[in-house]
Amino acid sequence: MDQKIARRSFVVGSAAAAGILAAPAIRAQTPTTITFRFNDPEAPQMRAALDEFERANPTIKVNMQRISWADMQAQYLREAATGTAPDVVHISFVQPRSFGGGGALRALDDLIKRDGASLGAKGWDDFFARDLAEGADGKIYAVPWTTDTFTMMYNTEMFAQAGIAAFPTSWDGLRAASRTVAQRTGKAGWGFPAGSCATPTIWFFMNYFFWSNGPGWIDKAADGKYVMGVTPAQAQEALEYFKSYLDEGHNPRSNMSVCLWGAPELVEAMLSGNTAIASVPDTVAMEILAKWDQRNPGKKAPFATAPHPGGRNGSVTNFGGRMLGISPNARNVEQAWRLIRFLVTPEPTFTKHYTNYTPAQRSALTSRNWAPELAGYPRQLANSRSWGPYATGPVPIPFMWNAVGRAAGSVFIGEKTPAIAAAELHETIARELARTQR
Amino acid sequence: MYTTPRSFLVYALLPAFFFLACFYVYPSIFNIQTSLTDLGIFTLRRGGDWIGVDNYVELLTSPDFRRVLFNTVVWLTLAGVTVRIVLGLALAFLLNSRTLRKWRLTTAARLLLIVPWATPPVVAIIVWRWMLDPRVGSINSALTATGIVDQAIPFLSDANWVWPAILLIITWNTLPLVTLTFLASLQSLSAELVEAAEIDGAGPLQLLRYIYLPHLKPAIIVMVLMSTFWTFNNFVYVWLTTGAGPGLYTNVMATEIYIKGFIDGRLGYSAATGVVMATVMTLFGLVYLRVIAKRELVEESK
Amino acid sequence: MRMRDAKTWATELATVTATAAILGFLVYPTFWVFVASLKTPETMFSARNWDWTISNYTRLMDAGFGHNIFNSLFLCTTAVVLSTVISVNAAYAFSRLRFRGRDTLFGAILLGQTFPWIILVTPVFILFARMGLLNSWVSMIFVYIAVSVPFSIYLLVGYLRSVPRSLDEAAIMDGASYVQVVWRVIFPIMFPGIVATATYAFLLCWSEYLFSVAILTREEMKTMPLALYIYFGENVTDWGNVMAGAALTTLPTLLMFLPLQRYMVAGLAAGSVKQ
Repeated sequence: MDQKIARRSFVVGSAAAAGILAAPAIRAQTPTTITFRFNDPEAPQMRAALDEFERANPTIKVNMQRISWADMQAQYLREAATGTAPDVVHISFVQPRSFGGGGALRALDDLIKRDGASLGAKGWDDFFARDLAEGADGKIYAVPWTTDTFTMMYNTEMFAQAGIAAFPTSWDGLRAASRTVAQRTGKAGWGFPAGSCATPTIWFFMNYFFWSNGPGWIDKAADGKYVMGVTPAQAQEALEYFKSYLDEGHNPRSNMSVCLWGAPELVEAMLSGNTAIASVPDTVAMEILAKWDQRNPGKKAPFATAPHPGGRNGSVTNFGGRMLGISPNARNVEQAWRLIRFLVTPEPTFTKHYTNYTPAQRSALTSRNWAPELAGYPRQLANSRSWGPYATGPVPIPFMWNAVGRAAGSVFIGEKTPAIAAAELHETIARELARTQR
Repeated sequence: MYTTPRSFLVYALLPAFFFLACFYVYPSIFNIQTSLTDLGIFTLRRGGDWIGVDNYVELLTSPDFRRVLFNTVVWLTLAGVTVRIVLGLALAFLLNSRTLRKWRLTTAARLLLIVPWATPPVVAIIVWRWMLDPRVGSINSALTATGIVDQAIPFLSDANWVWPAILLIITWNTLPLVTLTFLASLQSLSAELVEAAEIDGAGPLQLLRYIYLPHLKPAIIVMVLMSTFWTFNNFVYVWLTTGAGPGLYTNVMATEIYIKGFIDGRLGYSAATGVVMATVMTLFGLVYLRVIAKRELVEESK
Repeated sequence: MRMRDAKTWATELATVTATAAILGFLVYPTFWVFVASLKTPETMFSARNWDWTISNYTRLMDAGFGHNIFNSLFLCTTAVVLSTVISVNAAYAFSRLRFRGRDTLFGAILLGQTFPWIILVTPVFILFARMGLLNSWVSMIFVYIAVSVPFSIYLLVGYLRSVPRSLDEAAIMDGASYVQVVWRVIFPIMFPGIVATATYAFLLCWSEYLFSVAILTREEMKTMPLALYIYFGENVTDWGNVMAGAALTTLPTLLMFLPLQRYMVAGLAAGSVKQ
């Protein structure tokens, strides 16, 4: 009953709105309209891809909606809870499991069973992160779409000036290089964003720091239970390590209020040679290169990329990315599925339109051409791991990144000692793990 | 039509109460109910389980919450409103001074005062974050160029500066309204009264105490109440300026609700925080109304 | 005597200088938004390089920002007009009529503001979703009326105090209905106060984000703040669009407020006079 009323008034409302704003042409056969929630800034490029999809599928119209990644989760979950979610949704690698468990995504097993062989470039088995697409119930809730990771980008001229021949491969080596560059050039070394604004900043490096030597915050025990993988002492060591950059002054303290990877403070500092090293996702690295070329036409960009420093396990970063899912209230599942199949096929989506992103398929990854300055990315991707127990475990990842960022922030401003902050942080995550694992 | 007081009352008050009931009563009940469950953002569809007052117990015993309460009450509201009222008064007196009136500058000043007020908070924060930046920001350039400080101050990442910086942004954005209200009130004060008092030998302090402040009192009462309501519940200023950081140093009630509800995904706990927050504000409102505003309302109906 | 002149002159100079400095300080940040919006994103954050362009605006307009401006104007104007009508009636009733429970009801209206908006978003969303009112102007207008009615009534009751009761009592004697009194007698007198109140309500609506992000998801219905926030990407922020958008978000309120300024100040004065 509720549902029926809701649907009718919704249709009336949107028809009225469309009448006011667009006055759609009356056609003999009205195409089916599906909605696609897309969260990246590349709206014009994606619209072009969708136009191409519509030309190939004249009976389907795609209405693209956008929201920022920051608002995406809360908004989608409340929509899914009330049956008002968009048909196709753009989610992150770590979300299918928790969303699927909450009944917020439609299981795709039937569709993948039917069309899996022709999905993407080489079929379903060619996709990365299929484990993350699965819910706790073993059903598949999303199709991996793009992958990304972070790589270290550095200014080769500043490195030469400081007399550093090769990019360091250990965490201590990185700190020494950062310090040396800062001393010799008078500029910043590794200028990482150290803000704690509920966005994941220090969270990423701290995981790379842990993973390169052992397990991360959450680990899966042999009995299938989730346990704490990091000890308070290890957390303290990590907090002290990152704090030393700020204390020694080769990461400026102003970066403690920077919470975005592409913040102008960071991008401009790289472009102007005020910072020698950054750890950035591929989209930001491409933005830095594009801006450099634009401002210095014909000059070779003084940047190179290299994997993050490593430890016993070598260099390990997160193999991140995005997926596409279908909402449980989608009425036009076939049309939504057709859109997903189109979007995950590299040609033409990734070759013509969404070119800054890498498809989440093994075959497509190897065939991708990286600019020479970005040669670190394929190397880093080969040395990256899945979020694994973080994504499959019960503690929401945003909870952890927020807690880690806050603890780091209070250490950086000297409010808490690394020992106290590490103990509290460990306890906070352990408590949430105990609370959620029932 | 609506000639009797009763029929007019229904016509006049029903629409207002209809909106308030739908918008505040139902959500308040929802929140009180939610605050007694473990509803999470992922279980929104299924619903949460009843856990009694566990959320409240956790909340009231949490050291983090004590800081949130302190930040909200002392820094954001008490300091924020006081600074606004005091500076608003000072600026209103300055703009109302004989000199400015003599040079006919009061109107020009009033026009310029509209500018920060008309600037939406999100825009204000974008600009101020840039201006406060230690490397490229104009405030630090000015401070270092004039030799007031040797080294640029990272305002938003220094525990000593971050609250003053937030208050600076809020004050900049909200000062014009307060100033204009006080200025309007001052301009409605009869000049003869002031002159008479001056002839009687009243000094500036006496003038302030016996002439100006009593005249400004109604305006001050309204501005304190409205500013308190608007500031205590405000989410945007702190969230967009510092994200409640560094660490949780500038966490206030509204940002705590956001973090707990939408990032940690604990809607039940977040609702409990909201209920406590609304209770604090209601208590303030009741005391304020009883002590100050109610008396006025009663007087006025005689 | 000359000493005294010089002293007065010095005081005046100091007063004017101080005022100019304070006002300059107050105006500078907004002025900077407009300047930055006319610079290329490359030189935007640099104090020394100037590279003028209008491409930020043209790009923003191409992305459909004009639509967002229209939506915000339409939504806020409608909501403010309705909320003002509702509030004027209610304020008149509170101010002039004596009835049982009046103070309690008045207190209830005022305390409607104690619940933080952020906690209202989820229940209000669920309510509208069940009624099928997502992506509808009705629900947004509803929200903006509900958030502005409490303080509008409170402020208008204050303003009504400055209106002599003899005026409306005379009209009632002449046989006018209460509705006629409110709109023919009170409204014209109170107009400055109403402008001042409506201005607050408009500003509140103009920059509101929390409710609109939940309720308006269709691109063609989005308001300016929603469009502005979308340029803050997770990784990359489009500062050209952000600055042009910020300037365009500020401009309409400025253009609207400057001519209304005289009324606003008169209204503020009326609301704050002693009885």
